[in-house]
Order: sequence, then structure tokens, then C-alpha cells
Amino acid sequence: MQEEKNFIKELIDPRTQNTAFQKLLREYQKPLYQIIRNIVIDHDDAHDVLQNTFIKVFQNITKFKGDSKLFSWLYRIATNEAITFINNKAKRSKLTSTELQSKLVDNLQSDVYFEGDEIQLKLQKALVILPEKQQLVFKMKYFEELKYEEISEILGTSVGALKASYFHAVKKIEEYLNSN
Amino acid sequence: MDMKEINLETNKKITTGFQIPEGYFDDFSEKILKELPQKETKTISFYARNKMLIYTAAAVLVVTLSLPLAYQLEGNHEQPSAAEIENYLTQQSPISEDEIVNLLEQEDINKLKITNSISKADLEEELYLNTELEKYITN
Repeated sequence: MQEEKNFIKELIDPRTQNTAFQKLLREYQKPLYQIIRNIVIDHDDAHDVLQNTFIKVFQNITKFKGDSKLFSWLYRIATNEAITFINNKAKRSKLTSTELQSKLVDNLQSDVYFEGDEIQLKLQKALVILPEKQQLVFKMKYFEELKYEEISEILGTSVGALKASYFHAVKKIEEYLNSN
Repeated sequence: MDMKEINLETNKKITTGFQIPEGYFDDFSEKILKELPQKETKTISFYARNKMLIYTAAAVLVVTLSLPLAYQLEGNHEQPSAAEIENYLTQQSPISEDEIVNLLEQEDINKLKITNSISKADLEEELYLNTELEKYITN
């Protein structure tokens, strides 16, 4: 914890900021990309959102009070940026968020950066039918293997509610996979 | 594998299938760091940051500097001389001589002693003419 406090000080101090930010990028670029890509599906969109996420982090690091862990703060920004991105994209296309996600999943078959087999594609299709919160919990828990406590800090939801969401998500997905 | 038996907890993990372009992360941090100063050029200048402070300081300075001038303009009329005040007090003021005497400080009395010192001859003459004074002195 003290180490993290020192690291945050380095991120704020103009003399050490650049080096510290490089370290932050190295450490978090991959996990944050994954969490974003899982939400926005397309690689180019994920790139834009990841870039915006880091810029936001850089601009707001002085506001980080240390109430939560740096890790969860970063994940929270990335998740919010990705959700906002999808919602705005849907609005621009005059679609609902679910309709847009269906379209994005349909495009996966021709996406050069998707090499999933039938079952992987089916899983993506199953995810679209879930409510937003259940999707998020499932992606964080199943794909990213985050702990409930970590997801709780990121999403600001109780562990109990997360467990219930995950349970429902798994049931619905299994049902979809087994019936289609 | 029988599709009806898919169980996410027990089956082999299904990954996302998402691929990342080769070498994508190799220069990602460099690109971001180049991007940052541009986005960050919203650096607030000293002037903008302290605008209010500067305005306040300027206002205080103007008021301070203009005070002596205002005072000078206001108080430009001539001060009355000591003789004029004295004349005014004796002629116009309802204050009696006794009251003025009571208001005198020791310092003022000392000054009076210097300016109105009585010569020995005058004193003797006064004592000679006014016999009652002897009574005051001896008492």
C-alpha cells in the first residue's frame, strides 16, 4: 500500500511523472485493453478507448484520493469509457446498445482480429442477450478472472449482488449455448 | 462433445477469441506519451491561474497609491496659525480662561514659562503693589 502511495506521488510530481507514467502504461496497458475490448468488441475501437482512458488517467491523477486501489480506479475509468463509447456509437447509428452489440458480434466472423471458433462466437452472441451489469460481471469474472472483491471495487456493487449477477449470467449463457 | 452438457464451471475455459495485432503494445506507450503533452497543453499560465490575485493586488495598489494624493487634494487648504486659533478661542469660544488653564498639560506650562518669564523687577513690583499675594506665597 505504501509502495502504491509512493507510486502515485511519482505520478503527480512533474519531475518523476514521465517515468512513472511509462511504468503505469507498461503494467496496465494489456489488462485494460482486454477489459475494454471485451466491451467494445472491435480492436480499433478498443485502441481509441484505451488511448482516451490513459489520457483521462493522466489528466485526473491529481484527483485520485487513494480511497480505492489504483488498480480498481484504472479499471473503473476504462469500463466507464468503454460503456460511454458503446452508448455514443449506438446513438450515432440510431440503434439501441443491444442492437449495436449484435451487429458488432455478427461482424466478428469477418474480423481479422477475431480467431474464435464456433463455440467462442456463440459465447459472444450469448453475452449480447444479457443485461449490461450481468455482461460486465461475467466478462470480468470469467474472461479476466478478477476476484469478486476486485469487481466490487470497480463497479461499486456489493459482492453478494455480483455473485447473484454472475450466477444468473452463467445460467443464461449455458442455456443459450446448449439450446442453439 | 455433447452440446447439451456445456457447463462453464466444469468445461474447459472458453476464451474470447479476440486477437491483438502483432507488436501492438510494443510502441503503444510511446504513442500515448507523445499524445499526452498535446492533450496536456491546457497548462494554465501563471496569469490565468492567479488572475484574481493579480486583480486584487492591482486594486489594492491603486487605492494605496491614490490615498496620499486624495489626502493632499482634500487637505490643500491652509492650516490656521496658532495666533488665529488663540484669537478664536478668546473671542468666539464659550470656553472660559479657567477651563483652558485646566486643560493645559505640564509641558504646555513649561513652554509658557519660557515665553512669559517674569523679570525679578516686575515680580517685586507686583508683590509690592499687591499685598494679598504675600499671604498666598507664605501660606
